[in-house]
Amino acid sequence: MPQVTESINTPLPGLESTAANPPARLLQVALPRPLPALFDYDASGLPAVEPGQRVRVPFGRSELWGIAWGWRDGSDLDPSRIRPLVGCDDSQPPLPGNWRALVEFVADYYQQPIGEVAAMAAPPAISATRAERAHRRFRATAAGHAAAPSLPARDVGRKLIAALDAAGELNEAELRALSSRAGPALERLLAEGWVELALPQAPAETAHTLTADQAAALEALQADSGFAASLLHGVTGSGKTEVYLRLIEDQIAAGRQSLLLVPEIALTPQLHARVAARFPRASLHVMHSEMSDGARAMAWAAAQSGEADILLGTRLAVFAPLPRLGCIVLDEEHDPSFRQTEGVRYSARDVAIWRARHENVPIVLGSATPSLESLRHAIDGRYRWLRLNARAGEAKLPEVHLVDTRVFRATDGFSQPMVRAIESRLARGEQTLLFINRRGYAPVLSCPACGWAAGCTQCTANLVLHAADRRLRCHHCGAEGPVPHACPKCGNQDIQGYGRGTQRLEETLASRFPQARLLRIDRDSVRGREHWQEQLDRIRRGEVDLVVGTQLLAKGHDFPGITLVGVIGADASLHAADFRAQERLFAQLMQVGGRAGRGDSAGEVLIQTAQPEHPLFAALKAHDFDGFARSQLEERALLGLPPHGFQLMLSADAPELQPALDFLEAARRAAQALQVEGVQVYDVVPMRMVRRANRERAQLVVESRSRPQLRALLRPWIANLYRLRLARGLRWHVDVDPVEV
Amino acid sequence: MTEGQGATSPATNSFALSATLIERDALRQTPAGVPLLRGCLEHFSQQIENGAPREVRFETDFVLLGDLARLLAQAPLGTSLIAQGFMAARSAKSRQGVMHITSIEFVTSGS
Repeated sequence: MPQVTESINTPLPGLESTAANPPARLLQVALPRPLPALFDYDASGLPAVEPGQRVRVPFGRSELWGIAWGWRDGSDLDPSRIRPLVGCDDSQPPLPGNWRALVEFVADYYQQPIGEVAAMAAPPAISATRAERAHRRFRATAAGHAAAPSLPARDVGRKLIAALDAAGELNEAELRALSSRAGPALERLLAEGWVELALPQAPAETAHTLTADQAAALEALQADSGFAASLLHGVTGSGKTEVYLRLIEDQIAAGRQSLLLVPEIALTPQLHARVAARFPRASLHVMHSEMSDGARAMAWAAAQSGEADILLGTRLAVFAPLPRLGCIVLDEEHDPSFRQTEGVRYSARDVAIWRARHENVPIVLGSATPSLESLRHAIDGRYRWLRLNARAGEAKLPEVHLVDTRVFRATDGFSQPMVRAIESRLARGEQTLLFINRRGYAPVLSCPACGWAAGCTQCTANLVLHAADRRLRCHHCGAEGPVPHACPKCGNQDIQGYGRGTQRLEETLASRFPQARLLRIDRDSVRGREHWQEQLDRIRRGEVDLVVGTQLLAKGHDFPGITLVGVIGADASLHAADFRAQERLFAQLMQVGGRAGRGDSAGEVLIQTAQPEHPLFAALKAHDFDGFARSQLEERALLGLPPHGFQLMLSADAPELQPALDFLEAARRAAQALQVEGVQVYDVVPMRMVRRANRERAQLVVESRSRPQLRALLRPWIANLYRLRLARGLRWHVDVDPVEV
Repeated sequence: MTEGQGATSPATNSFALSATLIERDALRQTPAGVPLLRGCLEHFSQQIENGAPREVRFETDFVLLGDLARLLAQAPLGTSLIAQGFMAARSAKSRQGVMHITSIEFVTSGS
C-alpha cells in the first residue's frame, strides 16, 4: 500500500489499554501480509474508528497501513500482546460492508491471503479530491452573466466568470491559474449556481433500431429484477453493445448505477466514446490499472459516493463500491484477461457473478465465443441464454477460406493466394488486416553457422529480435539488450532472425506493396492511449490500406473499411499443450475474422494453414461455434476437464528447482493425507517454462469432477501448507480454477 | 575471432581469386546493422597441374560484410576483381564452402 502522510488521527492520550486487562474494543485489521488471517488490535484509543477505514498499526518493529475489518469480542492472543492502533485515515469514507464481503469471498474462494486481497481491491491511498477536480470543466450560467456586473471589480468570482465568458469552458487547473483564491471562489460560484459543470455538448447518439434478436434479448433482460445471470451470445457485429447501452439507459432512468467491465484497457476508449456519446448527461467514469493513482482515486470516489452513473473498467473495477448498483455488464466474457494470474489470483468474471448475486442485481455476460464454462451454465439453464444470430444492419458474416500452405508455399510468410487477395483489396481501395499473434521481428535470433540462439539468461526462453530498434527482448521477464554484433559463440556476424513477428511481416508487406499505406499495431507500436486511439481512428478514416496487428486489434473494434482479414501462423496454437488452446484459438480467429466486412462490403477471412483438414477450421468456416463448442465440451466431459471438472494448481518457485519440487512433494503428501474422495492429486512436475525471471518453477495440479469435494480438500490443505517449512527464497501460490495449467 | 588453433601452428585458410561478379543479392543488414552482401563469383584461369597447363573454371558463392559490401553492391554484374578471404561452411547444416571476402581489388577491364 502506498505511503500516506495526510490526516492521520492519533489516539487520545491516556486511553491506551493496560497490559493486564483485555482491551475494551478489539479491532480486526486486514494487513497486506502473505498470511491468511486478520490481525487483532486495540482500538480503545480511537473511539471514532470504524470498519472499512484505513488504519495504521504497529507490526513487528515497524508500522503498516491496513484496513479495519470488524469488531471482535475476544482474541486468542494474550491480552498483553494486543497492541493499540497508531492511527486512522479519515480523509476517505470507510469502505462499505459489501466491499468487505466481496474481499472475504475472494480470499476464501481463491484461498488468497485476505490482507493481500484487501490491499489489491482497495482504492489508491490518496485523497481523491484534488485529482477529481482537475479534470472538471466549467462554464458560466446565465445567472452568472447577470450577477457578474454587480460583483466588486476585484472579486475573484467576477474574474472567473469573465474568463469563462471569454473561453466558453475552462477546467479547474486553468481557473486556478488565474488566481490563488480561485478554489474557494469556484465553490462559491457553483453554490450560487453562477457556474456549472460543462457536460459534453455533443448531441446524444441516437439509439439504433433494434433487430428482432436484440429486441427479444433486451425484453428478457428488462424483465429482471434482482439477481439473474444472462449470457448474451451474439455473433461478431450483432450489436451486443447496443443491448448493453439500452440496459444502462434503463438503469440511469431508474437512478441506478451500472458497472461495465471490459477485458482490456485498449478496449476502454472506444466503448467510453460510445457510452459518452449516448449518455452525454450521465456521469461516466473509467477505471483501469494504467491510470494514475489520482485519476483512479477520483473514479473510485465517484463510484463509492454514488455520483457515477456508469463505471467502465477493467477487472479491478469489479471491486469498486457502487451504492446504487443496478446491473453489471461484462463484455467479452471469454477473455483470459479477466483472470489475474499474478499476485492475487482471481477471475473478475466469477467475482462479478458472485457480486451480482450478493448485491441482488442482474448480470449480463457478453461474447461471440463464450467460454465453455459460461456456455455450460447456459446449456444447463443456470444462465439465461440469449442469442443474437444475425449481424446488425446489412452486414453479413464473412466468408472463411483456408490456404493450404503445403500446396501454396509461403515465401516470407505470404502464400500466393494471400498475396492475390491483398492485391485485389488494394485495387478496390479496401482495407486488409493481417493478423499474427507475435510481436517483434523474429522470435529467435540464431547463428546459422554454429546453431547458437539468443536465450534469456533469466528464463527458459529465447529472446525476441526487435529489428526496429535493434534490441533483443525477453517477452517473459522483460530483460533486454542490444543485438550482438556477432555470434558470441563462433564470431559469425551474419546471425539471423528466424520465424516472424509483426515487424517482419510489416517489412515484407512494405517491399511487396510499396504503394500501400501500411500500419503496424502491437504493444510496441502503440505509445500510450491517445496514440492508440489515433491509430484506430486512422484505420477507421481509411488512411491506411494494410494493417498488421496482434490480438490487440482482434477484439471489439469496428472497422467498416476492412474487407479482408488474413491470418498468418495460426498453426502454432493448434497443438499447444494447454487443453484450452483450441478453445482460445477458435475464439481468437472468430474474433479477428469478425473484423472483416462490418461495413457495406462483404468480408473474407483467409487463413494460412498446413492443416486445413483440422475440425477447428471446418467449424470456423461454417461459423459453427455451437458445433465446435459441443465437441470440445464432449471431449472435456470424457476427460473430466473444466467445465466438467474442477482444478486447483499449486505452484512453487525458488532460485533453484529442487526446493520447489520438494515443497510441492510435501504439499502433495499433505493433500493425500487428507483422504478426500473423488479428488485426484497429480504428480509434481517442473513447469514447461522452468525458469522465468531467474526463478525455477514447478507445479502440482489437483482435479475433481466435484467442486464440493475439491473445496473440501482446499481449505484444510492450504491451511496445512502455511505450516510447512519453506526453503530460503521459496514462494508458493495457489490458483483456484486456473486458466492455464 | 581466434587467430588459429594454437600458438605454435596457426591454421591456414587463405584464398585469393581473380574473378567476375556474376550474381549478387540485394544488400541487406545483419541484425546489428552491418551491411552484408551475398553473391556469386566466377573464376576462369590457366593453371599448371602436375607439370601441365590446363583451364580452370568454377563458381563460388561469397559473403561480404561492412563497407566493402556497400561498395560491391554498386558494382555492375561482370565486374572483374581480385578477391581475398577465407572459406567457411554455408551453415551448420550444409558443409559446402562459401568464400568470405575480406579484401577486394577492382581490375580495370582489358588487362
